[in-house]
Amino acid sequence: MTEKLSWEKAQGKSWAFHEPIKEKYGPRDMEGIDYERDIGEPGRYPYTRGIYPSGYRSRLWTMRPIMAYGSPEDTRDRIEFLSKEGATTPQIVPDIATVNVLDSDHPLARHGVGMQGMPFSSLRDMERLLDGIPIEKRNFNLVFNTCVTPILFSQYLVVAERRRLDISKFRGTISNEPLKSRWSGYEAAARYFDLAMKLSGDVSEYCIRNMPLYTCLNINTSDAVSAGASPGFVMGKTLAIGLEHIREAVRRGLKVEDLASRMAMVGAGGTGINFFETVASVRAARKVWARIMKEKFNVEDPRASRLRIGGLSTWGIALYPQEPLNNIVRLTIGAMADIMGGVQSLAVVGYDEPIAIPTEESHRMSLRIQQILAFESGIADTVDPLAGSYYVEALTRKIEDEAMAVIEKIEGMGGIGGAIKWLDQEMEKAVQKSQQEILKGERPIVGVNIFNLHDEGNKGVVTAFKVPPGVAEKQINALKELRQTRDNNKVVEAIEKLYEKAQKKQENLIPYIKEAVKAYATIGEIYGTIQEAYGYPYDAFGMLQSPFKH
Amino acid sequence: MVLGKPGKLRIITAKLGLDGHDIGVRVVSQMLRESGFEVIYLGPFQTAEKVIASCIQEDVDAVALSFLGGDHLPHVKTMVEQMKANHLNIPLIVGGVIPREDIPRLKEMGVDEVFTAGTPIDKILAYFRDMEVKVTGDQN
Repeated sequence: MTEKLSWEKAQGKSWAFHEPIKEKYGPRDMEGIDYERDIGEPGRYPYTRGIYPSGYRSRLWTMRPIMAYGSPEDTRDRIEFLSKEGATTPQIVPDIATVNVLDSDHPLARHGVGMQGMPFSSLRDMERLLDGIPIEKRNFNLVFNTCVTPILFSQYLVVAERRRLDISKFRGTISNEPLKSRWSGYEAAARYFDLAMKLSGDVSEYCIRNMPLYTCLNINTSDAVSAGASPGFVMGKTLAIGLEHIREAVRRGLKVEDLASRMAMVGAGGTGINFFETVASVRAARKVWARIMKEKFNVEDPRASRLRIGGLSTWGIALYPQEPLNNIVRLTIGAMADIMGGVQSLAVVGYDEPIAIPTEESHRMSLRIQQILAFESGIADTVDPLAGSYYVEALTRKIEDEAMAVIEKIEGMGGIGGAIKWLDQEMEKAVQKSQQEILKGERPIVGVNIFNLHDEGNKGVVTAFKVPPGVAEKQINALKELRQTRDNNKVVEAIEKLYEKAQKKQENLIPYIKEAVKAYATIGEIYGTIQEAYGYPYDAFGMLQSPFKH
Repeated sequence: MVLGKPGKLRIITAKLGLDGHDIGVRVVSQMLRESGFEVIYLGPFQTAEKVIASCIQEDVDAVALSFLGGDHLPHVKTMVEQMKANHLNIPLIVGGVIPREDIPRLKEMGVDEVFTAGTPIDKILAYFRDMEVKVTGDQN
């Protein structure tokens, strides 16, 4: 237990910045800020107030619950359930085996099958997930980030192709940002910088050339926010990753605008519970991006300058298992911060997120938070309602300045590749500082380190959701059967072609990955082959040898 | 566990399986170090075999595993079985995102203590200090 009234000491302390919050903000804190030049009308450069002139009056944010668990059928059921309750765009996440680009029957994968997402070992799993879903009408947000992305994207494309759908009309989002995997626990699945950039670039390029309405890159702040980094650092690092991908596109003969107009960002610069910093970080991020486009690339095309942002201030990092119903309040504050910042989409997780993946009940509740805010609270009635607040504008400027400095620093080191060691150090410093503050009770968390008189662990009325038993076994058996029943000559043929093309490092690999996917080659086989072609081990975990002879 | 062994308490921390969310275990490991314990964090993506081999090689006094992904029960079951098979008789501690109703099950399996996310560090330190007294006889 922390000492009594420690929260009083914490008042006025900014957890994000290394200086105290002032008792009062006023006109002097806005000195030098010119409305037209530095803030701008909504829908106009530099887009501080939002990317559309009328904000949510013309377009409400889309409601995108994160979902997927167990088998593809379990996931379909949850999609259907949440769609009926009003979810607009399902965010589909792969299980932890798939995220690590491992087949369900990999020796390390067994207890990870169907956990934290659903398995996508082969085209069969994607077919099962999408069976009967009109994907030409139904937007998905495919949260694929590690080097598994081009393979799962190819599975998706093959399903579309077999249904003879016109992919040039497809809308939706694929995350496709592997660089942050290093800091979000999936280092093994995006270990090689050159390969990660190549594969992400292949997906982006394929989309740009074939799917003009599709968002092909969603840079993500969640790793840096989880680390407890300051909002300026979070935004600087994340937008610098965006620049890295822009340069990759330019190397391929594409224009800056081609990718910038198809890129979005997910996550604010704060955890949501630090309300004003989160609001200001969303406003600042838009401005920084517009400035970079103009100042670095001389690009003023609004489609490229307007940074679309998805709210994710409400995932697990600010939630606690103790007295879990308190998380409903934390989620509401986080969602309000994202909305006040002017996000285009919003994911709110379940209040049981720090205990397990959501039950149907908590999942619906998370959607209700958004719906109550959207339709009852009036929060969406006027665009950028906190603009002009001395405090919010001062914070926005502060975050903008810090983010610009971080971007310059990273650029000075030659981009993300050159800055990795520095970023590692900064992230670790932030993690230790922010988490130790909480564990030591310096940073008050209600019901956790203060007002937790009973100290009964995660007391409350929540029963953790359990992935149905037997999912892993069924999945593994189905995969073993697939390996025996598929035409293995076709697999070998497609894999050898892919190996040859990958080795040359010239062409976009998506068409060759698609051929392997069509032959029901698995994600492990396909990625293992590409890794080998690049001179890296077949299995990042060092447990399997390639079954193919190149 | 050898009673009266001199020196600091030595602890191995690790994550089993494919979940790479390791902020919690990194921070707790660091705080234990700063409080005077010797902690070796093996990192994520470990197997029970690898962790046990390291415990034997490093001659540690306790082993602590961190989980987030809901896969703690099967991993701990394997760990306990393999510890028995390898005659590794040291306390096994589990931490992280663990549903309340699973705590008795983990303890029945042979886990000595469970620390869920948000546990104050003082409680964790007190637990290891008690253990240190038992193991090393050192009252400092």
